[in-house]
Amino acid sequence: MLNPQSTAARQTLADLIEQQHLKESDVPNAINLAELSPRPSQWHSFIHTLLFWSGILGLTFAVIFFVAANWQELGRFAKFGLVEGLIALSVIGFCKYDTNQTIRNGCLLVAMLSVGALMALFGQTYQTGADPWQLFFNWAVLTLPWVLVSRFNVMWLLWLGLLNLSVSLFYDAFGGFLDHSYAIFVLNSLALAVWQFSASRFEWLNTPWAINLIGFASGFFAMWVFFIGLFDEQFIGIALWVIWAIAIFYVYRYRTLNVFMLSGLCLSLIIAANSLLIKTLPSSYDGFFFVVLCALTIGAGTYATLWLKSLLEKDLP
Amino acid sequence: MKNASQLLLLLKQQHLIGDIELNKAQEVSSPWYIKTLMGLCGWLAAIFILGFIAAAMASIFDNPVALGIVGIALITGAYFLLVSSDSEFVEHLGLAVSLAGQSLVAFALFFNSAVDESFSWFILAIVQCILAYLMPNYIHRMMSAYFATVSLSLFMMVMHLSSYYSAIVLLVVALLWLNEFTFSRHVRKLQAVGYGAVIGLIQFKTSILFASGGTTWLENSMPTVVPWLDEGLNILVMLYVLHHLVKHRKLVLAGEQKWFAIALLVLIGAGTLFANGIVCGILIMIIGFAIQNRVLLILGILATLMNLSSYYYLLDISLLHKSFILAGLGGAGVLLAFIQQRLSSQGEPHVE
Repeated sequence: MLNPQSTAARQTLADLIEQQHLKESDVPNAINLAELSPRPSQWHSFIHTLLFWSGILGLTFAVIFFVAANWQELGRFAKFGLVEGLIALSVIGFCKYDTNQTIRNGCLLVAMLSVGALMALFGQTYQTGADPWQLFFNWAVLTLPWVLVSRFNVMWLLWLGLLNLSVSLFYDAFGGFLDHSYAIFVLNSLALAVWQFSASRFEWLNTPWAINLIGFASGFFAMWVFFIGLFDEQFIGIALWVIWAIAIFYVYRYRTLNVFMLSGLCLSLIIAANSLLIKTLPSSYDGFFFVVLCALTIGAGTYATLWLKSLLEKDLP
Repeated sequence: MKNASQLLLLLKQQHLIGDIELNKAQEVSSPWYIKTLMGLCGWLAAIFILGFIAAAMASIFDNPVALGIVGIALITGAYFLLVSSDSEFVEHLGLAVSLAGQSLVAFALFFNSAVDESFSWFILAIVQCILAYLMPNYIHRMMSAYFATVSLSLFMMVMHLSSYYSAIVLLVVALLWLNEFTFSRHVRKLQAVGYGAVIGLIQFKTSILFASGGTTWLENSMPTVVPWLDEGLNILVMLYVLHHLVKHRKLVLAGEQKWFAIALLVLIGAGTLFANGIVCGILIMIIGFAIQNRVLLILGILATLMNLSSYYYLLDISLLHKSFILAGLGGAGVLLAFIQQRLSSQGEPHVE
């Protein structure tokens, strides 16, 4: 959708204008030469994509809202017919447009989301008494074949989201040996490892934004697990965070450079170091206590920024 | 699309620039995640500075005037730190000191019972605007623009003017981004303000997602807007932006394509009058695409998805009516996508 060089061209143009290498009157001409204005064909493609995905999402959310509204004027069979009809239409669309990947992806996404609406409608109509976690788990299990054939990263992320929800709700209902954050941390970290490993084999999985999103989830819960470990004195939490930090550093520094992940790691290290000091320093909360924490944060933040920038500079073509 | 060196070569061939230092223009500009890391570290350090002030000078918290004076002194100190040094360490320190100073100024305003709440938010918005203009630091400008946008939203909420808020900020955002290279020589200053304002706007439009028990994080009641007025004004801003894009890009739509464009506008205009935030998200996406800005485009996509989710919780109309509105919009969207594809295959538009 966007030109791959647009970020570099925008930065160069900003430099030229700020450093007064370009006359003010020449700026519009320079913008045209930098091709920062989309061509008509690009506009058409963008409008088409925008309309298609807005339409697909609008229709799917409409069905979900409709089921949630639980309209009594419409009989149960009509409701089931509506949702199942949408699923059937989506699957037909997927099979019919076998040469258009965008339409195929859209159709499968509608089908996947509509299965959730269908399951909610089933539970609402027949009062099955099932736990909420079962809804999301069964939803994930039933839609797995579509996710497998889709070769579409959004479907995989959605599927992972369903697993996260079902694990979280399961822990809410039944509890477990450890806090639910441990289970969600392990789930997302495994997903990250599998995704990163598979990205070298399957081109369609090699999308940095999707890897970064799972990395963010994994890092967020790693931090959470660390807090539990530190303040509730559960050694396993700290150990898991240390393993996570070493793995992220090794993989994203030496195997495949990913400065986004390393930035997240730096933030995690700074927060962890501060937490460790808060836990270990005498809890007098005097001026010295805050000066130490402030100096640590600014010092470590400065070092991290310089290091990350140097990695980016090395990575320049 | 040209890469940086190709662009420089082309500009030289066209005699738009002379012989300049190539490396200077290619200097690495930090990506958004490093800026976020710096911002979060500054914010964390600011909390510790506030802790230090509370521990060492606890008595000043009883005196709003003293708080204000210390706050302004810290902001002034931060300004000189940021102006005087290229060092990364001093930049972090300056950011933290300034954020702590701003917090003290805010405490001074809100702890002083003689000052009206609406006036406090107004003053805070003005202070943040001044800081966004003056402070010589990208992260600081972005944070100040964000705080200014949030303060303005709270001022307008207290004044019962929330229905006009999103259109005003959306218009400012659109003007900033569409003229980022031509408005002034301070391109990055404008960009930082633009990002801060967009994030503040998205937060306002999706505030119901961050509410708990019907109140905001400040324990204020949620902003109440008149949906048709709020969205209607957003649609007017969208029409202005589209007019600007068509005029600026000189894109001429031939024959049926003109009717298609009108049908599309009528659909979005009528369909989204009672669909909170959808126009705002789509417009941010359109601007992001028009200026080829990846971060803005992603923010627009996130805003649209978050607005669709927050729409579920809005109580202005029933879920059933919301589902009919979305079905109409979605069905028409898919239909128009197919019609547009047909029209595109019949004849490409041309640029004059």
